[in-house]
Amino acid sequence: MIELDRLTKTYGARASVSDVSFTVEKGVFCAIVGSSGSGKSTTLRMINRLIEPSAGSIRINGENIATLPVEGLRRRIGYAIQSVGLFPHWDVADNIATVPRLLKWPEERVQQRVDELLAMLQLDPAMGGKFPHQLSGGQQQRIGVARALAADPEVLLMDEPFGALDPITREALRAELSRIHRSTGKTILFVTHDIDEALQLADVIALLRDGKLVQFGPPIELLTQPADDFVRDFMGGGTLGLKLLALRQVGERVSPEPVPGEPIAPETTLAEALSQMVLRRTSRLPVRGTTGGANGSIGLSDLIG
Amino acid sequence: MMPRHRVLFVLILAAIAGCALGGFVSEAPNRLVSGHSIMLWQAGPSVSLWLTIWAAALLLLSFVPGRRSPAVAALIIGAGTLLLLIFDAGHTAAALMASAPSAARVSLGWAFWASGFCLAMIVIDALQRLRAGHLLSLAVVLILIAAIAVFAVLGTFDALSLAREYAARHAEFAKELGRHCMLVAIAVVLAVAIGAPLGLYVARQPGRSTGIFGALNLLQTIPSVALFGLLIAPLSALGIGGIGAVPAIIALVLYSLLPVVRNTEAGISGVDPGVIDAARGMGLTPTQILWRIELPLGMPVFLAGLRIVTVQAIGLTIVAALIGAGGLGSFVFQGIGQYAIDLVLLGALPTIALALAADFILALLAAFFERSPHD
Repeated sequence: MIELDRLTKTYGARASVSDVSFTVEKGVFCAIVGSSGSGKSTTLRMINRLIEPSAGSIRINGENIATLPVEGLRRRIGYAIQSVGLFPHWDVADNIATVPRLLKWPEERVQQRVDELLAMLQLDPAMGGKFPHQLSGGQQQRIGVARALAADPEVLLMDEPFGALDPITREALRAELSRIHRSTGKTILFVTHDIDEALQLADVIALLRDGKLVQFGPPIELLTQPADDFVRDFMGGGTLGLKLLALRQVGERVSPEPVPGEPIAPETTLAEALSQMVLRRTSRLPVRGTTGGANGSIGLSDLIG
Repeated sequence: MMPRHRVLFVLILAAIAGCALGGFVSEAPNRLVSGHSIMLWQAGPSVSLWLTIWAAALLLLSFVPGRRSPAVAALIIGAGTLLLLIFDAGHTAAALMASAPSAARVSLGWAFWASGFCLAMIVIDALQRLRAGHLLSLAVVLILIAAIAVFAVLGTFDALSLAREYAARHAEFAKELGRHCMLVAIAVVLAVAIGAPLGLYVARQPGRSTGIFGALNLLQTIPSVALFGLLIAPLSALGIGGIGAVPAIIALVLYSLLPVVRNTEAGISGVDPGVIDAARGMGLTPTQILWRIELPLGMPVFLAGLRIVTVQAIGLTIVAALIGAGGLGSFVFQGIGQYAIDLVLLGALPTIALALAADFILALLAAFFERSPHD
């Protein structure tokens, strides 16, 4: 559990972050969202004390982090950034092993952990001997994520980790991160300016504007009950309804009456179902039955809910 | 018809022109007067004939199309011709001295230096065209040095004035060579010991850089003779003595500081800020970041600075002889004083060789650091 309590950071007279308080429960994926200069990165970097707050405090599992030795704290927290920052003179295995070696794990366990992580991120075990400049941008960021996870940290901080990647690689890595979050149950704080990325990944969203927390809550809440016009605009303005559809799955709205045609999967999002209806020029789509059950269908009116 | 390899073509023409315009060796009745030139074609048929044949081969080679084979041929023939030229110089001197009084001197002439330089450039050009790595270049240089050493041991050069200057002073030569190397080594070690921490400080406090670099730049603009002279008065006042090794080393260190500080600073500041951010975020201590990240990544730039400083110090140490610090410069200034050019060369040639050797070794080291993360 991470508690931010009236967190403030000022540079001279200008407040980069002012009076931000929210709590992220254990195992929750929290996206910190805002436009450039909203203080989202500063907020994140105060959690591993790369920046010291001017006022306020942060507690991890009840412990005030200001009282902990700073390097020890950082070694307990995974950290991945947009520029990746792999050490160019170390091979991939040594890069991943950075924190375990700082924590003086026995070498055998370090090697075992490196192999585990390469497998977890679906990377070729032979990649361990390669150097960062030999890898593509997507591979480098996978290694960056593996390195952040290496010492099995309680918390993972990610600062726009996929911001510099092409859309296809970014999508693949988001899916990867989502899977890792589900399988490891880590608490993740993820900074992004991309609201779609936040909607796709996060359990809760902290929306910042000019250093202040505007709204904090589950994605659906920000979509359906935006605190003000800024939130509404940031969440998508006119396309807000479509983003809402993207959060729900066909399986929740399926009705038993069968219709002919190629069935869609029940995990399909409502947004994709709507897209299919437009493409197929129909107001009702067949839906494949769950595990052996009979096929059902979903109609245009079901989307509205 | 146009030559295929213009560099080779121009170099060999320049070598031939050098041989036509100046004497191959010059013969003088004693070491202090200037002698009369003996042209290459006057040096005896065996000398001129073979050199002509080899030069013609190189000239023809510049018209041969292709990349690799002509370069290999130019490398072998160029190196061979260079050795032949050096051998012939000694051989010609021996032939002349056989019939001359023992006070007579035979010195190397313009034709020798010009064509020798052009042939060395032909070898270097061929190595570059072959994209030779450091190992092949090193092998070629070592073979050339070994061949010249064999000539020297066999007495090929004994009749040359340069060799006779050496023979008259070989104990002194070994002492001054050792002293020269020692002065350079102490100065470079001190410059690194002072300059590297200073460079690190400047990298950490960019605000302070203007003043420090300003002062170091100013030092560089003082002419070396003037700096050696300027140190005499204050050091005498301190009781250290204004002449000898100490002021020489101080001056050499002062000159060496700027490149060391600048390259240390550039090496450290050149490390990708994302790498440093990641290192801090993962919990490396500032000391660990310095030793494991910043220093290894900044090393190639630092070594480039060390290379500049070492080569510069080897040359500057010549001037240090003026204030009684010794070193190879003492031969140079004795030679100038006596108007004995071969004595000047006895000091100057080993200095050039030292500078080239230091440059090559440090380039090799830098290449090792550049390449190691890629293997």
